[in-house]
Amino acid sequence: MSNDNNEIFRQIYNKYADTLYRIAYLHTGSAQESEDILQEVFIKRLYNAPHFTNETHEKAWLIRVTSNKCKDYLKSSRHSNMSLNEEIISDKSYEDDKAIDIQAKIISLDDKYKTVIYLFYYEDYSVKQIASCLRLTESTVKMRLKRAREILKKELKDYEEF
Amino acid sequence: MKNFDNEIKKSIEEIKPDPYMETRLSAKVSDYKKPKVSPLIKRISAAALALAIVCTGIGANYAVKNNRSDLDFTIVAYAQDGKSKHTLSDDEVVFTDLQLIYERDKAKENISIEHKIDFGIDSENVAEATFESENYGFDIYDDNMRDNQFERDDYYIIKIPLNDEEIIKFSKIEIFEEDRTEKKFLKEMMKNRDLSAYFGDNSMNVDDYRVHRVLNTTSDKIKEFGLEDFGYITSYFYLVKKDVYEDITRNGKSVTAKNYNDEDRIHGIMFDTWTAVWLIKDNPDMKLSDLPKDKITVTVKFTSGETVTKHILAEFDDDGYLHCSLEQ
Repeated sequence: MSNDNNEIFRQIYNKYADTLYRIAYLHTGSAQESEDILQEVFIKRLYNAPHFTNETHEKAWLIRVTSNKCKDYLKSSRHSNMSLNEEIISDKSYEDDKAIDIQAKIISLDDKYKTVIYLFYYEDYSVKQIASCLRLTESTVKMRLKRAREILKKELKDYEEF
Repeated sequence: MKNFDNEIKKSIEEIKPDPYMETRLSAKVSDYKKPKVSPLIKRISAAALALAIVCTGIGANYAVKNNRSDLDFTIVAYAQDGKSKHTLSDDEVVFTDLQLIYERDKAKENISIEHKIDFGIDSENVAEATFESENYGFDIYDDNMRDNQFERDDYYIIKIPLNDEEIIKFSKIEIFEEDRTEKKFLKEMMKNRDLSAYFGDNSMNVDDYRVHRVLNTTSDKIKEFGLEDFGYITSYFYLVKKDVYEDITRNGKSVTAKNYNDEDRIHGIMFDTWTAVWLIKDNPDMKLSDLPKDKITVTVKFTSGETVTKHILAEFDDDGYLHCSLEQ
């Protein structure tokens, strides 16, 4: 890797690694697979990325590429023989922890909900921003948020006391 | 959970890469080597390109017949719920993701399409893709085009805020209605209050525009109006001039989608089989396998200007499943 690419890698890692890792993890439930996905994303960013007009553009592109890589990964035969729940459990040693439990519920959601949930709840993106970032209609984002929220509330009803 | 939003956020906050991931990734990314083409291959490619330029018009057919890798593309089809994806080849694929379902004696009232499939193409250096169906059609919501339009400053020329009464009224009808609702609602708003200041010198004929809604997820009014379950309110209508900006939604027997963002794919071309539904409604005794077969022509234009065409053969079986294969 050239010195320029080293510097770009360092910069984008510092800026976006946590965000992209969280998206990947919510899709895969596996630290190792999330790291593999990030490797592919960073390679694409360094060697085959479009010209970015600003940081927002770059971040949206990285989120979209990560999300697509996650979908490709989940559809790949490599993953089809594994049980997602088994992976999640094997990666975790604190199943009784509420945060971990909530994570597991998000990970068990249909793929289409995960990035939307992440951007809305964690990054505080508006519906419009999510729609723009993921190239979805606002109606689709709203429906996904509504359905995901309904599923999570139902799944997490044991935590009513919170 | 009363603090539902916070709990979700907190649980995501717990997800963190380990501190050594940067070092590992840096090493792996450093090890990556872009595929290199040998000087000999480069010379051969240059000669082939020169020949293609001389033989304009022959080049595309040559490329198809000889499957030249730099001018090839893969056709994919996938369920819209993301659960399955197929790469089309000469072998027949049965799309269990798409099924026409009906009870023969109730066909006139009750026939449905279970799930939908999108077509797409994967390829590098792709400029645009056109899908053309002989007997059915396609439907596209062109996100790429929207993003491209969105970057222009004059995209939203008119911005009209909804008042409290309108926010509540619109919130109760908006979700499950068709997009046309915004336009209908705006026309009603114009009957009740003077919106001319927002239009300025622009036409006040709502039909000259496409109407988009802007959502607000942080307003105190969400709670005030008891709309917590929605989690947002529609605070503005933004208007886009129809005669300036092409519609990002298109449908018909032929649709074309461009690659605006240097992606190595053009996806999201929904196969519209409603023609089959109408045929069954009109002919309830018709076997699903007697529905018209389809030949879908997929033409990809590359950034070099050259085009390559492939054909998909599609037909329904007696159970309403769609069978597809590439024409040899």
